[in-house]
Amino acid sequence: MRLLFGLFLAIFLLPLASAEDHTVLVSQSSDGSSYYFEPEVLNVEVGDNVTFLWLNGSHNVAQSSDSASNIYLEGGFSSGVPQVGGNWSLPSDYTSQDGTLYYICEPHATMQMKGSIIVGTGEVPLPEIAMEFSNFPWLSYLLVFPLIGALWTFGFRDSPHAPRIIALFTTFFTLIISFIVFFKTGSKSGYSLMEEYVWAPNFGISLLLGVDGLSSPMVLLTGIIGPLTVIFAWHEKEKPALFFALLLVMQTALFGVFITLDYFVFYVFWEIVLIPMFFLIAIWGGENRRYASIKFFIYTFTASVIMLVGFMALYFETGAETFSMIEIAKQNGNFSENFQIWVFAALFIGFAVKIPSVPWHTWLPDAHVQAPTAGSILLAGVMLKMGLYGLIRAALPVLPLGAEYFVPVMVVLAIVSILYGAALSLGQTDLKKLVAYSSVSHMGVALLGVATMTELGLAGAVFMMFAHGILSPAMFMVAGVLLHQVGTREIPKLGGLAKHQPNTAGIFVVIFMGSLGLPGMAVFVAELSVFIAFFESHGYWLILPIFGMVLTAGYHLWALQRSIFGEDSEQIDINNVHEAPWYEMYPMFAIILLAVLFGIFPHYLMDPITVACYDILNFMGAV
Amino acid sequence: MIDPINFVIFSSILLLIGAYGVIKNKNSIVVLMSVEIMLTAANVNFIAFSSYYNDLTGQIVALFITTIAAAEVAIGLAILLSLFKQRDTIELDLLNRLRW
Amino acid sequence: MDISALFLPEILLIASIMVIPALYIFTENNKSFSICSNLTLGGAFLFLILSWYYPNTLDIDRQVSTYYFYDHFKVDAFSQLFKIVFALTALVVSLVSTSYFDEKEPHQAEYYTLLLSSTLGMMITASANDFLTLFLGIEISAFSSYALVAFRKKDDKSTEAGAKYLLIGAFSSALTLYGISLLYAITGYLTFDGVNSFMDGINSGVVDGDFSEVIFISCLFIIAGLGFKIAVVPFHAWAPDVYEGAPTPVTTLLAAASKAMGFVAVFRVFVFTLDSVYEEWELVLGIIALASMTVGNLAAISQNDIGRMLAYSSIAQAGYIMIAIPALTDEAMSGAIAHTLVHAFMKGGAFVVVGCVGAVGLGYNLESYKGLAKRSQLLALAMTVCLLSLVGIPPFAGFISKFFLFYGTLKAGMAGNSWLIALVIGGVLNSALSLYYYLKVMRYMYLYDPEGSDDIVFPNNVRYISLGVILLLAVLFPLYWESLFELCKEATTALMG
Repeated sequence: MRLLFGLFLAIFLLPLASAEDHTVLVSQSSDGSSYYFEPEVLNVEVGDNVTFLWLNGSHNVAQSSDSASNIYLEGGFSSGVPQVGGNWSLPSDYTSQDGTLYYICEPHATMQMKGSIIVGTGEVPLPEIAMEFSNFPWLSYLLVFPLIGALWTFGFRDSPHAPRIIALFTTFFTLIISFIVFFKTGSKSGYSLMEEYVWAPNFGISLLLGVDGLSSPMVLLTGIIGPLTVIFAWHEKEKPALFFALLLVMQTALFGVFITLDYFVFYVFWEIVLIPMFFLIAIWGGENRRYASIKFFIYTFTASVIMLVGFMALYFETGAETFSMIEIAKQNGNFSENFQIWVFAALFIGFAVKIPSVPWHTWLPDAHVQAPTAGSILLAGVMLKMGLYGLIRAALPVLPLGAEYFVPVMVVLAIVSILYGAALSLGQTDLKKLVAYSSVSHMGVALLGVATMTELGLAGAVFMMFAHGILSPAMFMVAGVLLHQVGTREIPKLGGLAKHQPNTAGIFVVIFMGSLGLPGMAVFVAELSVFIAFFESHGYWLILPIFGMVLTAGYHLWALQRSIFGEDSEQIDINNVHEAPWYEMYPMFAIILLAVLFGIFPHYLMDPITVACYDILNFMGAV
Repeated sequence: MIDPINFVIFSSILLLIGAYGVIKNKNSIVVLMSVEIMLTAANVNFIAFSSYYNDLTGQIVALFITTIAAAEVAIGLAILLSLFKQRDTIELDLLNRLRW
Repeated sequence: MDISALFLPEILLIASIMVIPALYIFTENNKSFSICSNLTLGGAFLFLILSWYYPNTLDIDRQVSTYYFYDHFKVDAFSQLFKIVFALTALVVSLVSTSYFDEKEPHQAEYYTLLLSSTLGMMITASANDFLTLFLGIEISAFSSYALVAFRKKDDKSTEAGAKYLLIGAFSSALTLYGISLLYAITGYLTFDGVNSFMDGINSGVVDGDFSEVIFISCLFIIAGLGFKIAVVPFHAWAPDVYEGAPTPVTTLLAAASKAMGFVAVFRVFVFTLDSVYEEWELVLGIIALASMTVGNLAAISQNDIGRMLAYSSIAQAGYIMIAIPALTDEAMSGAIAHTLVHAFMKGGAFVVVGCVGAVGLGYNLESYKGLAKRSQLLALAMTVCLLSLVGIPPFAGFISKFFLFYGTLKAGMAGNSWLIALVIGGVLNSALSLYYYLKVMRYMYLYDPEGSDDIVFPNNVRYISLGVILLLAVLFPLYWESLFELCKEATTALMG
């Protein structure tokens, strides 16, 4: 018995006691024909010490990125300038976790003077994900409040005023909650405010909610857009109760997409978004609304069922009987490259239609032009962000190899989207259509950021999502104001508005400047970081997206010049043009304030985003 | 004892005759009659193998099928009769008010 | 309560089938027949639920099947689940009929009698434990529905639909019967257990001889007959005509209950009885499934009559359900059962609305749905929920059952039968395709203004039923889908043994 106990003790204490010392000889043969580290491949346990001992010749030890590389990896370990004799021990934190370290002797790297140290299993372990459960259900409130508001408005469906007041109250309330969520999340790594409600344990489906630095800006965006939409649609006369109820249901579904961490629930919310949007376009839309709404629905639904097959393939491949994104992402090392490519393709189709990326963008101009202004605001402001959000959240961390395989495709699609969207915008006469195509172009920039697969690029993409999410609604508001106050959105018919509505026109100018990427406004920050990241990863191909930006500036300024300034137009009743009413001015003004705020102090957003993007890339093993 | 395969051959010939009648004929009554021939084909199988296995089940089934066939003809004739009252025909080709 | 009480619903129906013609001798009041039928079906429905799912009513072990009539009649979780669906559907049909037929419609006593006897046939099919009982049940139900379809003697379309239904039905039941006789010829049994053990014997080498061709041929015959009942390609040609021509309450019964009955028979025959010789039939069923959903959806796109459109859509839905049968796993079968149940509710709900819109005189064309939302929000919403559910859009019940179905089949596919994956992908793509024609109806309901008279009053009982359908499909099933799954799993266990 005592013997057994001693054995157990020995086994338990063995790891503690065995911080072994290893020695690597750094040497060359006396005639200089071969240079070597001895042993070339060293197996050590975690926590062991490694000392390099110089025997013969002048060498140094410097870390390299992999076994093929001949150059020093910036930021890695190094013994300094080549030395003769003496020794140098490897800093202990390099052996503190599993992984493989490659190193070279800088002067003799080309003579194959290389070695490697395999620590433990040799595989870098996946980073731990911090999961912090909340003791107050903030996120469920986000889901439940708009829904309650929707039912509430429907209770007053005969009253002309009650629905909008209720809707405004509800959206302001959710705005406050989303601010709280944003600040509580902060720039911590990992998920915070998590909640879990079991829904179908047989399938491993649960309502798993949580936010990180990636989703908290999106939650904030959805929260901000909510009351702005309601205020802007303040004078909706046709079936106001149904209108505001649909807006609120839509807000719930959007929040759901951004805060859920379960593939199945993600898909459910993803599809629910379509239903209110379909009715918003179909009932309150323009002349061609029937065609546009059906095209919108079929396009996005078809793409997302393909995505569902991808989700189910992930679920079965994992074999863990869970749809949790976190659990499935932990298994990403077990997926074969072939599998990853196929599944990534399925998911990418689902997301690319929503982004929308050329060639799947054709539903967007139709939907935008026909949708009522409030619908366009939600569509451009929040719904288009679902695609890229899904790509970053649901596809990248789980399928790193697949994503890498598709980088060239994504880059090409992104650049084509930027150029094609901008070129089409140049040719549009309808302001709303112009904004729709400019959305294609702007989201192309964001996709380009994702395709760089670097921290800066991803962060720039997410920042772009937020910036475009507040500025494109403003652009649609401009189009809406023109339609209400002037009677047309056709740019050739407009002219000389600045004289007759100077305040409104001033706001228009600032919004246009923000959207084209004027420094000091939010879009500029995003574009700059994406382009820097793209230059670092792809070099002078940057000239193409930059050219797209020139086009962007061109069509913005051209549209502005022709519609706001210039001669008084003959084709509209120019003397009847007044300033926009308060309920149209305030939302635009609020957006300008936000755009300037995040343009001058981008770090409020950039900090959490960067942390989240770092986590995701870390998870992909790309750092 | 006769090899049971002969019964199967006989019954399948009956079935084919019946099926041919159903597919080829344009008169609803003849189609109904052909269906009866097909039911008889099944009956032949049941009865033959009932005696082959020394098991009464098959013969009971045959009795049931005869009853079912009678009921089928009764309902069929009733429906065809009311069809005839409306259209003065029971030709299948003329049943084209609903797209076939 | 005694165990023999489990037979009570059928007794109730038989009694009522005799009582209604007797009532007809004493009274000409049409109300009395419908009340009698409603009471009977309501009683049977309540009794089925209470006796089976309410704990401690019956002193039996529900995991074990109970047998009656020398083992020809079997009561288990599978049969009771479907009997509940049949009773509920028939109850809804019976309720709707009172508003669909006006007071002066002749032959109402016969109508309700036939409705009850059709339901009785379905219940017998659900409980059948041998091929003879199965066949009798199917035929009882089928003969009643032939007469129901042709029920309006003066209506040209109704009679023509009845004649077509009868001729094709008789032909296909003769084919099934021949298939059964071939099975009897090789096995010498007619009970499911007997045939099943013989097939197991072939597999394990206990029984000598190579029967694979005969089994294949008899499977083909049985598929032809049952495929007619569930309306799958290539045995589907009757469905659009009959759905269009029959009085709409009868169409509701055919689309919801009769189809479910066909699936009950298919499950009993293929999933239980012939499961050990699945190599013979799996490919045929797979091809039929793929063909049904594709043909059904493609044909539905160009339809202008709502009955025909829904008929083609139900052909497609039958195709979805069929993909689970070759998978033969517990999960896939639970999915198939769940989708059969939910399909009965969503198709039934859609046809209730169709019947109501037709009965108030708006017609049966897609155009007659113009502006339905302005006429009645509730009916339009019920129709929307049913249609979106048929597409399989979350969070409605159709999505959940379709998810079960594809989940189970995909799992079986990933586990080895890789050709099943192709079926699942075909099903998913077809769902997307089907969205188009369902959206057409929704477009007419919400995006157009009503044409013609405005003062149309929809009967109250239809409104209550639509409210019930909305609650069931949009609230109850999505929230408690785990319980739905448990029910289906229990039924699957009872089915597969």
